[in-house]
Amino acid sequence: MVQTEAAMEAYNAYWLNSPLPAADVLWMVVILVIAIVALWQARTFVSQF
Amino acid sequence: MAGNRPIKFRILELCNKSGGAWNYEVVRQIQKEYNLKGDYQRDSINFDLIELASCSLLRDVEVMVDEEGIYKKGFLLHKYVITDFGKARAENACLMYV
Amino acid sequence: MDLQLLKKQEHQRRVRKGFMWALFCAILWGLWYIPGTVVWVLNPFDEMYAEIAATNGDGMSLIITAVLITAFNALTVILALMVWNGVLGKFGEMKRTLKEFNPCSKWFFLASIFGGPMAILGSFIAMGFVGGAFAAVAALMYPVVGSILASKWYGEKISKRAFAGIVFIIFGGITIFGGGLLTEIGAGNVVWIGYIGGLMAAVGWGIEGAIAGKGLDIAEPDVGLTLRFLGENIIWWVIAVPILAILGFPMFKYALMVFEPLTMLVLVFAGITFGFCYVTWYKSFPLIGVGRGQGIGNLYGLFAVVFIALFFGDIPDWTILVGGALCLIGSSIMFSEDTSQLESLRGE
Repeated sequence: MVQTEAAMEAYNAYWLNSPLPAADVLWMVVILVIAIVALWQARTFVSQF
Repeated sequence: MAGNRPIKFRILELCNKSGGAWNYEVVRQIQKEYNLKGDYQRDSINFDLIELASCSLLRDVEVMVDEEGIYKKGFLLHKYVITDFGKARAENACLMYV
Repeated sequence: MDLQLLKKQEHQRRVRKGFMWALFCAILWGLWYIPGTVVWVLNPFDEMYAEIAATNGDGMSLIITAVLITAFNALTVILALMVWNGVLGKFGEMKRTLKEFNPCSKWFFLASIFGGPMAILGSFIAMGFVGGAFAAVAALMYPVVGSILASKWYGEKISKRAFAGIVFIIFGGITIFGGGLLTEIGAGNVVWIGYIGGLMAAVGWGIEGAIAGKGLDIAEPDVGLTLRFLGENIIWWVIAVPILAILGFPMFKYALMVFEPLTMLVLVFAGITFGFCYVTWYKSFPLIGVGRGQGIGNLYGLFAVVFIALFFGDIPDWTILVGGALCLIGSSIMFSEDTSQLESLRGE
């Protein structure tokens, strides 16, 4: 199954007005980076005690 | 049975003695019983002790700087004892005989 | 080395880490609004919404569709939490904790009832029958409920200063959404059930925090939170979705249509942000207390508006400047509090 044309259009319209470059991909990158930083912190912060 | 109940339960049990227990003793004991190896697991268990103290289930009766590296050189060693609140909270969980 | 100095440092470090986790929660929660918003226009949810709206009206359709989206969100949250717990090596502890129903897992399942069907559904009801801004503002009130409950129930100390910080952040949030709130309420056709939804959100999340604080006494946060989402999955998939299907809503028809690459991708990102935001929220509670953790977590309102502006290009109302400033004041009031007060979070 694929997205209907109307759904894709609505989805793509979200990123059109973003001031950031490639916002449609960038948001996922930002989430991944912050998630990885959080996980890395969780794994390492206990060693400071 | 050892190694079968949540770690914080066992920590409360180990700190439930007069005079309390040193954190490095508790951590080593738990590492042995639960077969948790490595520095990360060690620090993780120690952090459980810190959380328990922060929530007032444990309180430290003695604090000492680890000069010789008994546990981690330059860090603090805490001797923890279970509080009344900790006993009450643990009563229905792990300290059946209290 | 000086013993007193080291003690103070260790203790400050604990409090700082607590605030760090609460801040992670706020940022990830704010980020969740991106996948949480766009998923609505994707198949099959857009078609589901249209079909139910045609027979039952927009407000009702929003809630029913929200149940299915939330149920899938809860599923992907579990996936994200499996990664989290895998990296932290917590599977053994998870099994041990799950088995202790009465002392441990009971609390987390209870938390899932208040946080899941009550707060999340309430939030969607508020959104469907009043509007998005009202839903956001109503949810902002939850730290008041949470901190009062935690203090009455198990004596969590909440200083005047921390409470002042919470109040500043709440007013900051209200100001940010203020313009939209006035428009929505002024529109006149507000249904009372929308206000009930708002109340459910504030009370639900507040109670969840207080209950979680209780369960986290004797369990690890990473594990406790995973059990809470196990509970939420059971509620949605075993109870809510089948009941709605029996009532005649096309739940399973659309649930089976969800396996579409883009929809799954967006749901996975919703799961990562929601799961990690929740786990960092729970991690902050034993370190700084439920009241402060929730107060800082409330900064999600500000982050959500900022991320939406950055990625969707929605220019926020000018009130965001005033509201953001209030949030900043509230947070600094809490961050700069003398931490020796926090040696232990609860009164003797």
